Amino acid sequence: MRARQWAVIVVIYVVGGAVGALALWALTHGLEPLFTPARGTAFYLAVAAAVALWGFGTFLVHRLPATAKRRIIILATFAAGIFYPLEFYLPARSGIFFWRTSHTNPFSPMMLTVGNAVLVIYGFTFFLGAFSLSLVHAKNVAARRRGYYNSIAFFVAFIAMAVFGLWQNYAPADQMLFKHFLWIRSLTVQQVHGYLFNDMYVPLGATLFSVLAFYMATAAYRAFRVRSAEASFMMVAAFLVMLGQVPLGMWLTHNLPQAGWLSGLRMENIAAWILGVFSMAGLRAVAFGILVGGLAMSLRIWLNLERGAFFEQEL
Amino acid sequence: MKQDWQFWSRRIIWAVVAIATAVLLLVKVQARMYISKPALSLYRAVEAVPDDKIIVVCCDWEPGTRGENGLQTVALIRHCLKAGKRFAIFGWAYPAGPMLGQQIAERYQGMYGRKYGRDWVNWGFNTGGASMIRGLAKDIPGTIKQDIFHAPITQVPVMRGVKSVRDVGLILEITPSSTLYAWVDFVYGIYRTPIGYACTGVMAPEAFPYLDAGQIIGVLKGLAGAAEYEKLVGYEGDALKRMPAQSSAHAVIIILIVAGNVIYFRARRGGQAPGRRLSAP
Repeated sequence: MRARQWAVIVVIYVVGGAVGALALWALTHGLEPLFTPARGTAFYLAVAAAVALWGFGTFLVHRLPATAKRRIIILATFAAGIFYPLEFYLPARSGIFFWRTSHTNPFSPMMLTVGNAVLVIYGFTFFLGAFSLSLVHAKNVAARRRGYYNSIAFFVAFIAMAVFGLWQNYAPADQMLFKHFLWIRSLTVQQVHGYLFNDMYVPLGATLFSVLAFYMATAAYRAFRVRSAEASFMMVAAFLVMLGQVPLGMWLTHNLPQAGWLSGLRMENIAAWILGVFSMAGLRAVAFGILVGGLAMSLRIWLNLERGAFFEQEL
Repeated sequence: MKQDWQFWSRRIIWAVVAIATAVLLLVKVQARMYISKPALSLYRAVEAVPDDKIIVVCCDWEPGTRGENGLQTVALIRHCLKAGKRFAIFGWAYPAGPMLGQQIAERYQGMYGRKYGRDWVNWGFNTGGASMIRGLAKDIPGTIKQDIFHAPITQVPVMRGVKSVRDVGLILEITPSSTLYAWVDFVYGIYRTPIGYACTGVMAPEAFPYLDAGQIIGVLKGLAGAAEYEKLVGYEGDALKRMPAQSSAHAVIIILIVAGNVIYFRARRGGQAPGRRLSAP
C-alpha cells in the first residue's frame, strides 16, 4: 500500500474520530453551544473557519478513492436518517438517559439546530435548481436550438424577478429606479417589482391553470365512454359528485327536506355520501399502500440496500 | 374527413366552454348555496379560538390556483379580521404564497380596523419541509426568527405569549398540494392542535379520510368551499359571484359527456367505434 493511501486512511480515522467525539459531546451538552449566533469579529472568524473547513473537507473528499466516497455517503445517510427516529420514538424522559441529570431525551433539544441545518441544505437545493435550469437554457441559446428565444425569455424573466425581488426587499420605500426616463414616469423599485409580480407573474400563473378547464372539457367528451359496467359506475359517480358541488345540482333537489330520511336524496348529500364512503375507502387503501411502499423505500435508501442507475453510479 | 371533425370538434368545445363561462361571469345571477358540514365546522373552529391563542394561516398556494385558494384565503382572513382573531400568515410550500396572503390581509385590514403587527403578522416563507414543521411545533420564535419586514418575531406585539404550537389555536392550511400530512403527522399527532384545510376541488377527496378520523376539523372544497365560507362570514364576494359560471361549465361538461356517449353508441351500432384510442387535444 502506498504512503498516500495510508495518509488518506489516517485522515479518515482522525476526521471520523473527531466527528464521533463531537457526537458524544453533543449528547451531553446539546448542539446549541456550537451554533449560538456570533456577533462582530467572532462572526467573521466563524465564517472564515466554516469556509476553510468546507474547502478542506471538499479537497479531502475529492482526493479519496471512489469506494471511500461511497462509504462516506453511506455513513452520512445513516447518521442523517437515524436522528429523527431516535428523537421521535425514544421517550421524552426515561432512566435510559442516565448521563443526563434531567433524564430527558438528549435529541429533543437538538431539533431546532438540526432543523436549521436542514433549512440551509434546502437553500442550497434552490441554488442548485436555478443553476441547473440556467445551464440547460444557456446551452439552448449557445447552440441556437429550436425555440432558443424561449430560453432568452427565461433569462430575462429570471434575472428581472431575482434582481427586483431582492432589491425591493432591502431598498428604502422611496428609492427611485429612475426619474422621468423618456415618456415613462418616475418609478420606485417597489413599483417595478409590483408590476412584475402582480401584473405579470400572477395573471400568467392564473391563465396557465385556467387553460386546463378547456382541456378537461375535451377530455371529458372523449374519455368518459360507457364501455363497461365499471366505466358506467364511474360516470354516474362523477355526474353526482359534480352536480353535488355546484348550485345547479343543489337547485335540482332543493325542494326535498333538509332533515329526515328524504334529505339523503338531496344532491349535495348524495355527493358527500359518495365522497365520504366509497371514495374515502379507496383513498385510504391507496394512501396505506403508498405509505407502506414509502417506508420500505426509505429503509432501503437509509440502509444502503437500494440498487439501480443512480445508486451504483461511478463517483 | 374524420380528422377535420376531430380538429373542429375540439375548437367547438373550447368555444362552448368559453361562452358558457364568460356569459355567467358577465351576467349577475344569484347562486343558491347550501353550507356543507365541513365548511360549517371550520367556521365554528375559527370562532372558538380563544383570545390567548393565534391562528396560523398557511398560504401554500401560487397564482395558478388563485381562483380557488385565493378566494378561500380572502374568506378565511376576512373572518379572522372580522372576529378579531389574531393570526399569522405563513408558507412553506410555495415562496409566493405568504406575499399573496399579505396583499389580501392588507386590502381588508382597514375595513375591520385592524393593523399589521398588532392584530396580525406575516412569518414569510420557510423551507425545510416536515423537519421545519417539527422544529416550528417546538419553538416558533427559534424557527421563524423574523417577520417579512425583518423585525425580530419576538418584538412583534401580536406574537406575545406565542412560544410553540401549544399557543396556536388553529392551523389553516390553504393549498392545492399534498402538504396536509406534515401538519397532521407532526402537529396534530403530537400536540392535538386543530387543523382546518382549504384545498382545490380536485384535492378535496384526499381530505375526507382525515376529516372522518377527526384529524382535521373542517374543509373548504375549491371555489364552492370559498363561496360557502363567504356566506357564513356574511358578505357576497367573488366566490359567490363566480359559482354560476362554474355551474354552467359543469353543465357543459355533463352535456359533452352525454353527447360523446350518444355519438359513441350510434357509431358502434353502425359498425364503427370511434374514440377508442384517446388523443390529446
